[in-house]
Amino acid sequence: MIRYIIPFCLLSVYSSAQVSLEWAANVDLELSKAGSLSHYFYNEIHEESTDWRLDVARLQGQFNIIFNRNFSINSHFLVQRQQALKTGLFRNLNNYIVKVGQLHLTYRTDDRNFTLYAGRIQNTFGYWYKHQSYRDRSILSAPLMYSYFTNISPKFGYVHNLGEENELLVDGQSEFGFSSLYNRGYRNGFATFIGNENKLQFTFSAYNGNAGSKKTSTDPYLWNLVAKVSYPINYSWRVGFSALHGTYLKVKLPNLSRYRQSMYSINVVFDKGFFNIESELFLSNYRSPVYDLDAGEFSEATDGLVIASLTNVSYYSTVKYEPSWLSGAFFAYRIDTLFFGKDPTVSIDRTWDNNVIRHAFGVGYKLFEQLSIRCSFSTQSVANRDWDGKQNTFRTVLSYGL
Amino acid sequence: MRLILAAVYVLVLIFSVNAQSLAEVSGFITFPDRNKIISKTKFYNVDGSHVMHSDDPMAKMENNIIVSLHNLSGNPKLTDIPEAIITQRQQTFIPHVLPVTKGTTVYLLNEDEFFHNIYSLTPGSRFNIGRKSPGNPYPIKIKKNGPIKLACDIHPHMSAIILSLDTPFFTRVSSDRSFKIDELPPGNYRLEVYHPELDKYTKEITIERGQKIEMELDLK
Repeated sequence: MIRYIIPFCLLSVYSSAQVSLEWAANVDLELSKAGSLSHYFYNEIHEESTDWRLDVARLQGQFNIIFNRNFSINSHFLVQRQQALKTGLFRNLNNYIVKVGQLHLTYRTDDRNFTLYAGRIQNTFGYWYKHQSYRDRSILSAPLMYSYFTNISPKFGYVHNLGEENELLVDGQSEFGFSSLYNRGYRNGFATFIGNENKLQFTFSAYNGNAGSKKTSTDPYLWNLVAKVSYPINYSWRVGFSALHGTYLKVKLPNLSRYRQSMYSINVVFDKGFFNIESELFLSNYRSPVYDLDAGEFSEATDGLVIASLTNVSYYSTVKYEPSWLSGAFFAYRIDTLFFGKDPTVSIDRTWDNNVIRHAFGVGYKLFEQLSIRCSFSTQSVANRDWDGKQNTFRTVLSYGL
Repeated sequence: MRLILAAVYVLVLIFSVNAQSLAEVSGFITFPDRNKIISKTKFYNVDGSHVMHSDDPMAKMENNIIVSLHNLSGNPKLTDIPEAIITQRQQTFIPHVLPVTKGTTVYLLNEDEFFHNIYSLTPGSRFNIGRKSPGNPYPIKIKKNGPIKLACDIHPHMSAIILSLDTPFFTRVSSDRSFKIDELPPGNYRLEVYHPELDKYTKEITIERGQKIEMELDLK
């Protein structure tokens, strides 16, 4: 799609005298340290980078082509450290990748009550997608629902203990699971926003790809539908409800149609004075063929593949306070949980993955309009084990707007 | 009776002489059209299509050019500017530049149907008023000279400037690009032109008693 959109953009700029261009960019320098049992798929810090690490984490740019009041092309580019690789400051530049996060044609009516995106878009499910940029985060890490990899495998579907206790090697590559809703995932498709964001608004989007995958798929049989409604009860309270349904997993499996994901989310946002509270409750359900690790094949019953119905419930709430006596500063706290339902493939009473509870604290200060610093600390407990600090994270990001 | 008439005559004479001693500076300003093809912006939220911009003339750059005269030989008495208000309408500060004298109380008024959170990171005038619902203007006393940049924490594309001045002699350039500052005492002055997108223009001038000066300023 990009190969068609970029020439279209260039041709449009060349052929129209009314076109204007907007750009913005910022670079993030990150200092991090993490506990000994860290992994990118659990707490977003790679296992080989748990010591103090100073790194250019990402360079991001926004580039908009404004044709007129109604049409524009909006793009978002990232030069980003590959999180699952070990990198260091000014070393291993090969470990940085260029991502075209968003590149879509935008049409909006004069009254702004109807907007259409078409092209490469961001998943509009839920509320947290508004914090896609690190500049807009009070806690640097993504909530568990958007980042924690569970026992759903891109190769096998549901596999017990996948990546939790055992790292599975498949074709020489590690298999660690699948997040419910990947926070930096971008898709090809379209999204419509109907109504006013500050009043009642409906959002519908359809795109090609998995909600939980890191990579963009071009497989036409992968599809997701998202519907969302948001409504401000008054100036302080806003509620939203999202639903998603679609296929998932990216490999060409013979039973791809058997993999289905449904997600529902309720978000409540409260603003008052110097406080902001954002909360989301998720319910996710997967229908997945069961893979028998011992037999090395998918489990089959007399009527075909054994299909497991797997659920998890996740919740987070972030409280942010901006002190009036220190303009540009904030303090934040987030409680974050991920609870799993009963494993339907066994008779014993066990969950299909380990429950997680995370506490995260954040503090930030905007020194100038262009320069800000944000620190976050998180600690989490897996499977109700002790808070041993082995998956703690400490991250500081110095962000400079070019 | 004659005595009273004589006193009135003397008073009128004094006032008229004093009025004649006050000078006036007027003129036209030329500056390049800022219809830039490429402009730097701030990061919008991901759903940037919902960003609003007001069509109010006072949001346009060409209506936010301020001319001021600063007396080099003395400190004129400053009086607060009454009804100094910056509103927020359609996610836009109106006016974009508000000139005031130092010490003035500026009221920040939300006229949208949703929250704004106005803050300033300008050294010497950092403040954060928090999320404010429509109505209820919030007062901020201006304690420093120079431009004080305003922004909204909720709508990052919003920006405005409170131009705090150490002189009572200033005016906003009209839409026909003319300006006039009158009732100026004689003396040496520094003329300044503040354009939000151009470098500050300065020029020293001497104003004689009762003089009327016409100028043409090219900001390039």
